[in-house]
Amino acid sequence: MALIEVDGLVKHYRVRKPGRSVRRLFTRHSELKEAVRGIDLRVDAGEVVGYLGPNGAGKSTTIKCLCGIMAPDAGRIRVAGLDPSRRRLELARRIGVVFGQKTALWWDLPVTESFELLRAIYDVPRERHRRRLDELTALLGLDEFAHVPVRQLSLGQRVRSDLAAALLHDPQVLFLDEPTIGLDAAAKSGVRRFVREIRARGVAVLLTTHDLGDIEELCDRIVILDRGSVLFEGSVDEALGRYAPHSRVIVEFSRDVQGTIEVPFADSLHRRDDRQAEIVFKRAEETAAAVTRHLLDAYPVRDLRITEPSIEDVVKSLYEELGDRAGGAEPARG
Amino acid sequence: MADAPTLLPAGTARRWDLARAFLRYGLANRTTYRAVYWAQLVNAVVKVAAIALVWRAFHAVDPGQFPVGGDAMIAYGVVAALGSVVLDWWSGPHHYLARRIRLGTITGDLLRPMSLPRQLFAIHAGETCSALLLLGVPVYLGALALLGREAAPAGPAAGLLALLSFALSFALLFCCSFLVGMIVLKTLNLLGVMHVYHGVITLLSGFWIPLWFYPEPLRRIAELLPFQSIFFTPLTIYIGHRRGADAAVAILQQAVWLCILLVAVHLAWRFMRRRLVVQGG
Ligand SMILES: Nc1ncnc2c1ncn2[C@@H]1O[C@H](COP(=O)(O)OP(=O)(O)OP(=O)(O)O)[C@@H](O)[C@H]1O
Ligand SMILES: [Mg+2]
Repeated sequence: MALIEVDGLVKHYRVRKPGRSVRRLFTRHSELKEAVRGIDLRVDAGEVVGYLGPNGAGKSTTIKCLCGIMAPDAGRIRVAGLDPSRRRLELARRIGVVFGQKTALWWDLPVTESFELLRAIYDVPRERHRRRLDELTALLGLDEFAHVPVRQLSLGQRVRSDLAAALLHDPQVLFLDEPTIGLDAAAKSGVRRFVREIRARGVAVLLTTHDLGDIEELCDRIVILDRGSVLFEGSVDEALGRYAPHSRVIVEFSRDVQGTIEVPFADSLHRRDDRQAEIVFKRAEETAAAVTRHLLDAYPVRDLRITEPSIEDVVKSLYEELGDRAGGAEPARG
Repeated sequence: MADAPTLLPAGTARRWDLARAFLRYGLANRTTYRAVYWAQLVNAVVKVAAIALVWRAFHAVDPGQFPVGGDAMIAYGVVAALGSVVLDWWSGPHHYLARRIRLGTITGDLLRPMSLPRQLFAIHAGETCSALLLLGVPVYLGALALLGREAAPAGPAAGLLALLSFALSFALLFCCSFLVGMIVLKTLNLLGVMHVYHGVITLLSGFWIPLWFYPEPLRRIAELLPFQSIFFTPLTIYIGHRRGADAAVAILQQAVWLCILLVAVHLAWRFMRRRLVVQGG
């Protein structure tokens, strides 16, 4: 069941035309800046979709339209069956949203008081609230700072509180905009464990992140965005197949091997010196097992190392490529 | 994009639940900083004492200048000072909005299943009730004990009517502050707008100086505006300067202003809501 359905979403911002400063005081010329241009997206129940793209690609803008706090300029959106901009207040009961950089809690209020206030606002029955809170407290380890005002929490503690706050009313859809930004390794893995747990309960999760570990560990599917358009959609494996189809074997010989090394199906072969070589091959055409078997049979091998590309390689090469292309057309990009 | 009012279930149990939660919010917020609370309490006591002394002195010098007796004048000052402590217009919804915008946490407010004006009203009501319980009531009881008739209402009826009138004042002040908040949203300039607003309330609500001392043109202006309904109306009812039909008309006038301002709040929010560009991310 699709809990998020987006067809042809378009959103632009009105920005002041750059001009000389004094003249700007008297004129109202503005131009439209297209932040999102025609995006299609689907997220099913129990699915985590990674929403990726370089800075300024339009990820946060999409999320703001999906949760109803900004109206789209064109396109059709359904989140948990509702049109977000028309039925924002109703939708609010069915979704949870966490923006990693900012808290949705009340600054001076202790965490538990914030939760109590949310319970009243969302009108969650007391008994259910208590059960839910116990569960979340155990999952996220909230008890150590339950009575501390939000302003005194560390970043990791605050993000955990915000995650709990977003899930207190048992939403069907969860939007996470960079939930692991600035967290240490332990806190990150805690958040990831939590997201997996939420997914197992059938929540649809749309996750924006620049953390490749998040993608590898969590995402069933990824959507890569560039300048407001979808560039790729598919599984992590498909992305690897498309953008990083090569694996490599680095082989170290026990004695000098002169002359050329022959490996069937190798795409390329680099000799580092007489003792070392690097064999690059397409995963789709040959398995690492076959390549190593051939090497072990034909050469005096002392050691072997197989490196598979990671999503990090995909994203790095893709974003660099995008950056180069954008560099020509649109030099100033933040 | 309409924030349908039906979304707040009509059930009274639900209303009580919300009211309790927001009162707890107000109490928790006011007791977070202990030093701040004690400073506010001292400030309230000093304000009340000073204003009582000033009016007592003035009235003794030339009673003929006053349309009311000395006791009534002192009561006016005492309750005005308390009113300004409880119905605080520095830290209202406009202040909250400006802070949430600056921190970028306004998104959190917009993501809740309650429209922003309602949330702000509930929060402000919670804060005002906590001010009433923790500052207003103790200082008022202290003033009654020390000043006796000089702080008491003209009679039981006057006291009750004034209470009703003050409740309307709270709602009126909320609407004014919310509208100021919309201006702050539009201009992103809190301090400038706040100073003007503070000046307007101080001058035109008759809260430091009763309107009957104002020069004719200024009094005319003040009478045409909603601000005098906020302080002058409940205070004159409290001291019995307006009673019977007079008081009823004044309260009716408050109610009319409240209706007008509620419509203005509704329209202003509808206008802003559509144009609100959520910054950052
Ligand atoms: N309030 C705004 N006014 C004008 N332009 C904006 C506004 N917010 C975003 N933009 C522009 O819209 C584009 C998309 O921004 P958005 O915040 O959606 O990017 P993002 O994908 O979330 O990037 P990041 O990874 O840096 O968070 C950017 O070019 C940005 O400059
Ligand atoms: Mg972003």
